[in-house]
Amino acid sequence: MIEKRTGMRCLVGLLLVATVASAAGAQDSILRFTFDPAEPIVKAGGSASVILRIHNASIYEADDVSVYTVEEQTDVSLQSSPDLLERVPPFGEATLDLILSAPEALREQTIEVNVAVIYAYCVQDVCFQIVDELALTVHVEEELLSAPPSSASRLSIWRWLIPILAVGLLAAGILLWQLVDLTIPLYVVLLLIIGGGISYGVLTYQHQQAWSIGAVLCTSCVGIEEARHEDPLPSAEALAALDTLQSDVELVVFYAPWCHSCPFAKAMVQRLADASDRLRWRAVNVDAQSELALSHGVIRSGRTIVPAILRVDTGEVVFGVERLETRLLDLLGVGR
Amino acid sequence: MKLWQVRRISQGFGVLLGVFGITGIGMTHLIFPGLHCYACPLAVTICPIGLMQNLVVFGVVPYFWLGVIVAYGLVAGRGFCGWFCPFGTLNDLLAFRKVRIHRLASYSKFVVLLATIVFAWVFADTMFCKVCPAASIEASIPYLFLKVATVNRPFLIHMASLGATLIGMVLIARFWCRYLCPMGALLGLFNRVSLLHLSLDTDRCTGCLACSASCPMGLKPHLEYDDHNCIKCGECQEACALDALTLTFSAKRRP
Repeated sequence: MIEKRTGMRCLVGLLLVATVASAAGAQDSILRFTFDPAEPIVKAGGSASVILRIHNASIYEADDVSVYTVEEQTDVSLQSSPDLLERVPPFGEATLDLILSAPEALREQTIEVNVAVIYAYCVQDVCFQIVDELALTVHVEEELLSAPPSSASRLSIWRWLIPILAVGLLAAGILLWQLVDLTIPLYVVLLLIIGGGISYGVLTYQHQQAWSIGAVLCTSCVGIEEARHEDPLPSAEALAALDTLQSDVELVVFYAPWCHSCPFAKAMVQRLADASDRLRWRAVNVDAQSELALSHGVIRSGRTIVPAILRVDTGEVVFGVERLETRLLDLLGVGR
Repeated sequence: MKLWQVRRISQGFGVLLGVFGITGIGMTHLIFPGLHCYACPLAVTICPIGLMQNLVVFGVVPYFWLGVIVAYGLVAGRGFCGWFCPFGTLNDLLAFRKVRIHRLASYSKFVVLLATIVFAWVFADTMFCKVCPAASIEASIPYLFLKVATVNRPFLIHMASLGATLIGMVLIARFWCRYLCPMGALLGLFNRVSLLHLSLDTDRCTGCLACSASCPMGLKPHLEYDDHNCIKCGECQEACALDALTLTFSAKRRP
């Protein structure tokens, strides 16, 4: 009898040990995550929707799933709907709708947003809280039809402190030269401005910025055509012509963030794509992907010209925004 | 070799740098020491005025630009206008009437420079480029032939600006450089401290005005050798039979 009871105790003990051991080993993530789309695009000052697909690959049920961004200082904020997902059944799937928002002042860039997913699961009476960290690549784009930057956003006294100081030193040098005919301080100040300006400019990549401005030709910037800022609503004829599009067409809009006509070109293509299922498009920033612009032939005589709209299957390119609707319809082969 | 021959060769180098893209070299980080449109299909350098406007639009503190412009100013001041700038060379080619400069009107180029900055700021756009006659020749016309541009309103504005400037150049030698060039205004600020400068030996000068007759900028070089309008071309040095005026490259200046 004693032996039998002892055997039962041993068995219960072994079961307990096995349970605790398996539970300890199970403190791993049991959920698998994918973002749809994998690399969402969010407009500055706007928001974008991303679906977080959750797959439970274990025999345990996951409870109270919530999502938040790891770094609060991140420029892109995230909200999930619903706030809390109550359960993801074993071997089951669930989804969470995430809304990404970017502030208006945000420049065009790619941001890695660290997303934390918190959930719990229990093995017998032992429960675990798991925090899985995921990296979400978010492309921030400037608004399609954005207003020029305001004067106030370009003016910051603190940023101009060093040049103001240099001007003060220069004025002192000129005064010394004029009053006591001493030129050495003036030349020293000038040499300091030259050395300091070029060195600091190169360190802060201003030479690259200068190169970029020279290497990319914005059609409206040098007066080849007028910049357009209005919302390009397609005409009824254009919409009717789009219906006759026979095959799927992909367009690529090459643009530069500082180009004045590019937002119009992007918005025009977007409007046409909204009106036709056969038309797909994507935007390529030539500042960031100059090789792509080169390989797609939007370079004429050493200049990348923006905006340029490429039809991928034929390689034909349309430059600028003048009579854009007509020229786009011709590019699509549905023009009159 | 005479001074004017050296200057022509130097101006040739300026034009060569302006169209160096013909060799297949793309854009470089170099800021051109004169007025030369970066949109020119053959340009390998950046226009200082175009870049300045872009930096104003972006609200960028222009460290790199400022360092380079001050360096150009310190080396030669407006000497670049007389020796290197391709648009200055075009002015030179049409310099038939070397009339006396209008002193007050010559300050209008500073107004153009200021307006270029203010307009870029207010309109957040490179407004000067839209009327720049250098851009008319170096960008508008070439891109018309490359079928990127069409004969539209901006093109016609460019042609009107170019036409008016060319007429001005024919009627008044170096008309653009005298009254309108914002780059000339920038470099002119450094004329009195630049290493390349004109110096006068007052003991030799008789005040014969031979130098005045030769000056394409319409100055009286024996009196205005330090003026912000002097492009240091050296025409006066060659005109002076008594060698009273000399073009010098030195930090020391004659008192």
